[in-house]
Amino acid sequence: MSDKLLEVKGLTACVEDEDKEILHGLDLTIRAGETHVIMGPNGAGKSTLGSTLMGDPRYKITGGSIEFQGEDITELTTDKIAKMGMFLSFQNPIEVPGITLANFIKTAIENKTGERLRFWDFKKQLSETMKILNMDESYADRDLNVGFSGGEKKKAEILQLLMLKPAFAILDETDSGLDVDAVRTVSQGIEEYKKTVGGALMIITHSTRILEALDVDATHVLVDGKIVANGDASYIDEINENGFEKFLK
Amino acid sequence: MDMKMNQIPALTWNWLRMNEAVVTDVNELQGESLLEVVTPAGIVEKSNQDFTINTKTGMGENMEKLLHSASVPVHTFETSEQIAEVLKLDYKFDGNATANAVELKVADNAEMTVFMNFRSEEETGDAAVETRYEIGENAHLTLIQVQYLGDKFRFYNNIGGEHAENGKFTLIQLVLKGDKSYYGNYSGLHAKKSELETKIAYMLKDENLLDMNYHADHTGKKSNCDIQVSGVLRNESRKLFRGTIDFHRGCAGAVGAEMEDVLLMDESVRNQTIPIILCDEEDVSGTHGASIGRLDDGMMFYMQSRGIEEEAMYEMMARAKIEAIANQIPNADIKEEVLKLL
Repeated sequence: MSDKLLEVKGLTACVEDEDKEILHGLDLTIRAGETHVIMGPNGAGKSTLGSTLMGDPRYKITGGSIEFQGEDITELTTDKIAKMGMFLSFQNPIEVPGITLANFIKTAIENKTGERLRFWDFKKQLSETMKILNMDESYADRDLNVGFSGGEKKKAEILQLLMLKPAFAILDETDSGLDVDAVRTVSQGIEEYKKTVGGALMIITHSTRILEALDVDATHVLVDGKIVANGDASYIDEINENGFEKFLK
Repeated sequence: MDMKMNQIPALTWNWLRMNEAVVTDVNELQGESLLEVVTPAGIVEKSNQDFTINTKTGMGENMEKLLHSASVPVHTFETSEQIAEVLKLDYKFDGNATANAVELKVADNAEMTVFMNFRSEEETGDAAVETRYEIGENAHLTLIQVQYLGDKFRFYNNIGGEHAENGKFTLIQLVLKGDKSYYGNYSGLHAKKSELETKIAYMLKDENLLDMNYHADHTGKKSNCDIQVSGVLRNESRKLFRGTIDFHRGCAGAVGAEMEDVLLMDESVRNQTIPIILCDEEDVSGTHGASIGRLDDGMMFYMQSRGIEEEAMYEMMARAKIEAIANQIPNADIKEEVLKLL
């Protein structure tokens, strides 16, 4: 695990139409296959970090650089970053009326690979993957996220993760709002991703439930748009016990 | 020759220039285009010198006169049975200005599904098709029309018909290719519980134009109409939709709805709509809804985060709109044929 997959140096970013800076000189390195956890109080900039890495045009990068797979992606558009192998699981997945979940995933894979998928091959793979996530197969033919429960939306995100097989996935509070069973299912999906794809993860979370079955390589505490502390997996329990108070000083 | 057509039944301000379409350099129509017909058992075909159904049409008198001047025979298809198989009318327009006239008659308690496939052999040309229908009591006519014409083709598609009690007309229209398209439908909902269901989907690009005039004329008690229009505009294309739900005195309990869903892909497109609900009866319900706009930023970011480029994203959305209508085609073979065109 010595390959540098993601290297963020001195990243500063603000909301596109406002001058207020949210990320203040952030440094982060993630190597291929590693699992990193980002923790921090509300409003610390965790989701902004995930979105900014993914090239969200709502945020403007005002300084620093982002290297991914050895290339500078600071100025790249979202679709190009995604094609290079980065994936963001949304905290609040967007509803897309008119496009079925299956069509969406098929289009995404075809765009990524540049090759047409054989319908039956795709259908078989989708069906098998949905089984892993205990997803009712009828969801494949439903409009993407439209009328899905919170749990089904998160499962649909993990389904996309498993089908797209990115080298690096950012999971933005994938466990928030889920009941115990749904967290277990989503965790199984993430384990499956680690097992079959072996990709790197950056998990933004407030809880430890989703981390129980994962080998965490590093934990970072984000406060006020900066990483203020780094540690190993044991940091998670300490934060859960004592909160973020000591980092806020 | 310039010509006015697709005029709305109640005029609005002239300066809006939406009251009617003014078509310039209209060519004189000469002769029929090639028509291949597959007629299932139970449907009788006749040929007449003139229309035998007396009805208004969506595009209006000027268009009717233009077609009449071509002196083409009127092909009449009628049934008194419930026909499961589809009557197929394959039009192959050549580069000339042609006219075709069709009548569809569905007797009491009968059912008929008709598929009109509009294709052109040339990139350029003019073609006009007028279809008149007559639906008997408790009868159902489904008309599916798919337009896939040359990039410089001009097409006039004019429909009009009358319903008897509980007579239903389902009209599915897909405008996939062609330059300037003029569409109109008039449905005379003059009998009790007569019904019109219209579903239209279109994809316009470059400098394409789609000019529509749909008129649901309610005098029948508890008559019903539902007009749904869905499409995508790209480049410099233009679309004008006129939809009139006309509630006359006496149509108590009538219900009418029109709904539009338009995706604007470029800032240079022009999208115009006149939804009209005319009401001369108290006990009716008329609604209009519209969803018109571009993809919002959040949705675009979500799709792009999966590696989908902007161009592919719009293609996917456009295809989805057509598919949503195509999927409502009741015949599996025709549905598959249509989906292959996308």
